[in-house]
Amino acid sequence: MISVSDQQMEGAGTMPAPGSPPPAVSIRNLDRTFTRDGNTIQALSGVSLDVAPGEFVVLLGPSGCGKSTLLNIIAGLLPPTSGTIEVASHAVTGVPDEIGMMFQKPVLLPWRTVRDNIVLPIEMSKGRRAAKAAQGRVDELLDLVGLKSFGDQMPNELSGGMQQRAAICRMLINEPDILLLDEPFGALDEFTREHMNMQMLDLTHRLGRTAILVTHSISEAVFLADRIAVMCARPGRIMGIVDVDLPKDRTPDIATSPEFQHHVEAARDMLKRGHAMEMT
Amino acid sequence: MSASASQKAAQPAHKALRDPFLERIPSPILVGGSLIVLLAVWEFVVVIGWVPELVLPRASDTGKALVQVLGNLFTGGHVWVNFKVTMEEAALGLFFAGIIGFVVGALIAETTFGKRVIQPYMVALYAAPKVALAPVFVAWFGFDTTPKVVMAVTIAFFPVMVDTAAGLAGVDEDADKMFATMRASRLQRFFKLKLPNALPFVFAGLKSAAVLSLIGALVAEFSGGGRGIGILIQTASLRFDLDVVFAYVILLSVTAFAIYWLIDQIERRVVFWRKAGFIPTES
Ligand SMILES: Nc1ncnc2c1ncn2[C@@H]1O[C@H](COP(=O)(O)OP(=O)(O)OP(=O)(O)O)[C@@H](O)[C@H]1O
Ligand SMILES: [Mg+2]
Repeated sequence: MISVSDQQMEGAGTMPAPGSPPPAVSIRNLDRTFTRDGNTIQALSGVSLDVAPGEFVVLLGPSGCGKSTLLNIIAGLLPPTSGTIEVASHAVTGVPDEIGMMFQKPVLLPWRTVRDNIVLPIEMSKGRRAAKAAQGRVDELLDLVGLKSFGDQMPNELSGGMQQRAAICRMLINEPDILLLDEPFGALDEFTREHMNMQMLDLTHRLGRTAILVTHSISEAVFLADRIAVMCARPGRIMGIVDVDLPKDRTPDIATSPEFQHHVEAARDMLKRGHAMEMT
Repeated sequence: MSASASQKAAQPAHKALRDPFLERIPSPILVGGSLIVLLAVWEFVVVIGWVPELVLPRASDTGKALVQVLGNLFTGGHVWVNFKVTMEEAALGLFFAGIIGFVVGALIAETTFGKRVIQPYMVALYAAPKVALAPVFVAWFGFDTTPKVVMAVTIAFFPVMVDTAAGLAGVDEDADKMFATMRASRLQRFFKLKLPNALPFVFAGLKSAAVLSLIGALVAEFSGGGRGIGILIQTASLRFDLDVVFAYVILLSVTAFAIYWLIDQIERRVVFWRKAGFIPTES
């Protein structure tokens, strides 16, 4: 029922089964160090991970374990110190075409309407005219996230949750296959956050997108993930994987089920072990 | 009345911290009233001889001088002629200070050359007492308006430069990352993110520059002669007509304030999203 693979013991990462489609993201023996004031920080050490197309993977771990660093490397914003990273079977050199990204803050430009913020990625790559032509698509997306009549508002007229939904639309406008989500709802209150998680889960399944999401919250991780990569700090690495074999269509009441609780315990144990290793 | 009473009831904790007497008086009455008191004290200390009239002109004399100055100004007399000269100098000074300050600030924020080569010179120049250069500019450029404009630019472009550089560099880290994921070019980053982000800073710099430009023009007039309110002030002070000097100072203060206000109004139009940010949270 619950399968937990421990990378520390197996050594290598999860290898794709023969015959399965090529992974959306493939990471092998990734290291990343930062040097600051002469001190070297090992932000990531020996990270290997494969993410299958359509899979929802959550990176779970304490602050400073390198979750954002890993996501930034996948996004091509940061080069690894060593190791390989492939997105859609291509080595990552710059920002790959396939990715869309979201952060804890919505970072909408306050001088543009919601609509003009959403078309920004198109405006960047294909110019103003293409952005204008995409208005129909903007309306579809706004409708999808429940912001139908808010397209012409300014961002600061919207609540935090609504702003983050606008950021979802901006992320989706170029139809990326792989969504990189760095604590996207971490700044929202619990109710809004739960609602947004539901929406995100529904969205990725409906659109068939691959998602890698970062969080500190164990229950959020279990609720969203097909697989949880549990990370620990000093050095930042993947402790192990928790396979969450709950049904795909989840609602918040699943959190009370014993299976859900089992997964939460499994993830918690792994975090604890990681923390203990960090101390020694 | 009732509104202020209920407000007080709602904030009992604040009541002790504030002066309830001053809180209750409307602001125009408070400012106007205190001004009358101030003028009365001013008049009084001179009339009874605590302060000699040679040192401080009477408030009433200053008032009379101000009326004369304004009368002359609005009837196109010599005050108007000189006022126009000073205003032209200050306006040209602000114009060039705005352009030069923006360009140099952008170079410092955006280019390695600007950061490594231009910036150290600017820091050194910032520390230099630039008004001391006024006689030098007169020697270089003569007695017409040129040295005044140069002086105005020299001291007025600093705030524009510093604020522009700070505004361009002070972009939110996540916004920067977001633009990176959209594979924005350097120009796109500049025009679609950094520049709008810097605009409130640029305007703050321009407001300081407006005031400094007027000061620069006056200082150059003091040492350069020719025409301008600075010359009128100098002449009046040599004659110990301090009431007239005070009248000119008041005239220039009000003018500077008006320019400041004008730029602020333009800012409200251009940087409209800032105003939209001030959504009243308590209704
Ligand atoms: N640009 C950088 N320069 C120096 N050190 C960095 C840099 N970015 C990250 N680090 C360090 O690398 C480690 C991992 O950082 P990272 O931001 O990836 O952690 P995180 O898991 O995302 O933490 P959080 O949950 O707080 O966001 C930290 O120790 C951090 O100080
Ligand atoms: Mg992080």
